[in-house]
Amino acid sequence: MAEKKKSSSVKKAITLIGEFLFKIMEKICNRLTAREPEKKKKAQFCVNMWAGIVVLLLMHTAASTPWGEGVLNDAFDEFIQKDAKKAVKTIANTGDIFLVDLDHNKPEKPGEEISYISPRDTIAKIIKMAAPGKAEIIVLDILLEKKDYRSPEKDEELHKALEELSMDKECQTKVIFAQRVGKNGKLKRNLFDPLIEKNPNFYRAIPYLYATKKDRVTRYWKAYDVYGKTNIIWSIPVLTLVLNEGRMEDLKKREKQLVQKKNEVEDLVVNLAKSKNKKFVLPFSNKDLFRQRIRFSLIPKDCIDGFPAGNLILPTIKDIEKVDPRRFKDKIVLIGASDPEKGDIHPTPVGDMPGMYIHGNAIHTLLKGLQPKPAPWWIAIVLDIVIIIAVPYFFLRLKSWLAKLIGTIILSTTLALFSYYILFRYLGMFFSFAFGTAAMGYFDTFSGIRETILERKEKKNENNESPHHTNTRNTRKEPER
Amino acid sequence: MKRRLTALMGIGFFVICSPLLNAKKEVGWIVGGEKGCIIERMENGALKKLPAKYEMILYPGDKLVKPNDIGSVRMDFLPYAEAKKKNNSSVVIVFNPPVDKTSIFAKIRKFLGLAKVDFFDVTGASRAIERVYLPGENATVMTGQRIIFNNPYSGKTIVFKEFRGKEIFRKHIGAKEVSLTPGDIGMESSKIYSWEIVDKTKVLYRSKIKLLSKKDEDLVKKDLKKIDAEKISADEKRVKKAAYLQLMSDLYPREINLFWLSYRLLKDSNIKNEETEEKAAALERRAVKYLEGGISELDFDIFDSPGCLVTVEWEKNKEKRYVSPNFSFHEGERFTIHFQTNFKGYAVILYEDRGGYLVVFPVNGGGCDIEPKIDRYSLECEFDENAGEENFIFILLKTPIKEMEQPQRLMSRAREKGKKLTVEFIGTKAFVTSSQKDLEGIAWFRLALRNMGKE
Repeated sequence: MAEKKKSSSVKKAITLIGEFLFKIMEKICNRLTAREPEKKKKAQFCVNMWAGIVVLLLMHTAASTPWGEGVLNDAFDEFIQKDAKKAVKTIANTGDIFLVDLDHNKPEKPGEEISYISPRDTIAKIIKMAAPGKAEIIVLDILLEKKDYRSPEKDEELHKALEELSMDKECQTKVIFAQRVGKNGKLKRNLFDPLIEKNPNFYRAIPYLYATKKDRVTRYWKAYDVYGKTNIIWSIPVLTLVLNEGRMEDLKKREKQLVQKKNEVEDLVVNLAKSKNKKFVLPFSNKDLFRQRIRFSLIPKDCIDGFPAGNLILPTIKDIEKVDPRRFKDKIVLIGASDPEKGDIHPTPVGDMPGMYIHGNAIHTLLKGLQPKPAPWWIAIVLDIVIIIAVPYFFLRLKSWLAKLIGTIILSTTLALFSYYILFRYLGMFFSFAFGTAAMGYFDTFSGIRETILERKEKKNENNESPHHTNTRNTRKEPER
Repeated sequence: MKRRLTALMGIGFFVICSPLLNAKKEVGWIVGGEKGCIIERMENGALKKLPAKYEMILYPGDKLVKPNDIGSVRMDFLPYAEAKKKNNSSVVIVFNPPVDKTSIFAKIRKFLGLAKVDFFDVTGASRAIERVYLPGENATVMTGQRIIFNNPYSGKTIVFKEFRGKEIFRKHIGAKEVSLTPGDIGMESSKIYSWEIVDKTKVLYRSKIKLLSKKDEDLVKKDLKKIDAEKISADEKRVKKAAYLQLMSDLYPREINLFWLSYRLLKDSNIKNEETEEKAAALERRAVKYLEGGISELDFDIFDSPGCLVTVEWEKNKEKRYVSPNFSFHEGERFTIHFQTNFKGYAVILYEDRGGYLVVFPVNGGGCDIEPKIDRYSLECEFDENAGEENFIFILLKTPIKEMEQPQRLMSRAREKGKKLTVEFIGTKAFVTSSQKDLEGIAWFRLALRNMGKE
């Protein structure tokens, strides 16, 4: 008895909410009055609304599946591309990042012989300029696993430069070496391992980025990797930012927590010194679809269609010795190579890009506090409610499929523009309006299912009510004998 | 009618599918020791006994019988296939691929995109190692093999020609490398071809390439297969093959040059074992040195008359490499001229200096007689800041040179009575060919090295 009372009061509450919302929509949209009986309208609206809630909940639940990620990425990529296309139209302000592309200014004219300046001795030259020039950090986005057999003397030169740096006690420049973790879980060899072990200002970092398995597009920076089962090695963007902000101790503490596999590890939050009111959040899941996203505003040449020159002014490698060492002061000097034949070109949401520039953009995203974040729960709920109420009402009012299509487009566009210009550009948050838009596609389906059920019920009722209805099973005529 | 149609469709479906269902999978082949061996095989329900043959295909279920000596039969297998020994006289071929343990629900979830999100790592870094230009000069290749052509110039088109003959293939490549097979190019066994990188009509780079003779190719392929069949790790196989290719290139320098293939095997190899890695490193160093260029035995293949090859070893900041004699040099760069002939005779090199001539070879009063295929070195020089051409006159004869102390007179004789030879550049060498008749008199050619002055 008590249970029956309970269920009937729930039903009443649902109906009341539906009626209330319907009245509000009617008042707002009183131009769109339909001719259907009032009761039917309300019922249909209620069904659509609750179906919408169910669909949205399901979609949000599926957000962390490949399907959900695909829906999210399509919308997110659109925003990132818009940002990049805007950025590429003006010369990039790289801020504290000083990019050195060893393959910059390759000969453009056919028949021009390629410079014989070997890359590794050039790296040595840059280190010898940047360190005395008081660079903050030098990032070697170069795998130094193999010797250069064509020019072994160049490896010697680089070794010498690093050794001299090691011995200079006054020099505070930090050097980050890219080092991979092998499939066997062990750290791969670096030619300068002994120097790295000796110098506390030399660090190792993984040069790995994350790509989505589905379409193999590189979208995210990776936070860390594990080697030797119990050791953490941080990624280039994370280590660069933390060293730049002087928060290495905090990172070491988090290393211990990760190794101990504590599930309740808080995200590390770093208030950025140079970007006021902005912070860097290191998510410990290492697979945060929002915060680990890279925003691309440093665009190299031949990346975005229509903008072959990119938006970066880079030092010419041939004339690297002419660069004033003072330009390196307090900078993060990122050294890499962009030649496509070196196999370090990867698809990104804005175009194919060499790995060094993807790292440059990742570091830039973190340094400037541009990490995207998910919209707060209350914004998401408000926007979801708007979708849940508005869409069923439109589908109720707009009769023809064309009207519904136009209505959906208008609503989706409004949502998208609001999400991009207000939420993403100004507030740095991403609202997955894509789920709401995707859900809109299912409202018609639900309406269709409901109508089919109603039609069948009506037919059944008609059959039952008809006076000539007989049970055919029992009225088989016996053949005449 | 409907039933008949359904039945017919069912039978048709079965007939179509049964070859697929019953198709035997080739899992291996015999590579040696097949004499006296019999293969027992079920075919269409009947047991057949077949004599084993070299390179005979093996199927799962085949039984190989060789009384008391089955161990001498050598076989190669695809992954997951092996020969299971029954006794000293027989083995059975088995094929056990791993079973897909994914449940149907997991497959459905994956299909619907409802499995957990996963990323994969992308390495965003490169090696910054000096590029080695492949396939190098005078490379030999094998049928069906993919060859990567890259070059030190940002050229436009790659062109293949019969050596000193007609064009047989061309492809637009832009500035990137290209991968082609001898079949794509239209090469024939044992024939020498030249390949060029051209920009419209201007030849930027030229080198030679040859398709191995069938005999040599079969020998190399057979030996590589033997290495593959050995029970050693993949890394050791790779290193052993690389060593074998270099050995063959050293033993038969006129017929075989597979240093480029050896380099490709070793490049980017991530060998875990330290000892194997050291061997790989040594072989890679050796291959790179060979691929640098310079004069080799295969260069003389094209000569059907007395001739001379010249190459220049360039040095800057301790970096040395072979360059083409028409390379653009700069102030501060040093060079050493190397030359070889395929005839016995006499040679002098004069340096043209402000209208006069200085003898730069032979050096220090040495003899000017030359033996075929022995390197002779010129004086090492360094370019100064004055842009212009540094001219070296090579004078070749079969008879002793009388005017050694009078270079001006020697040069006059060469001009008035001698034959001026044409210089052709291929790869890092200048080719010059003459004739017996010309060398009975005096033959000469000019080698102009371009000094661009300050860089």
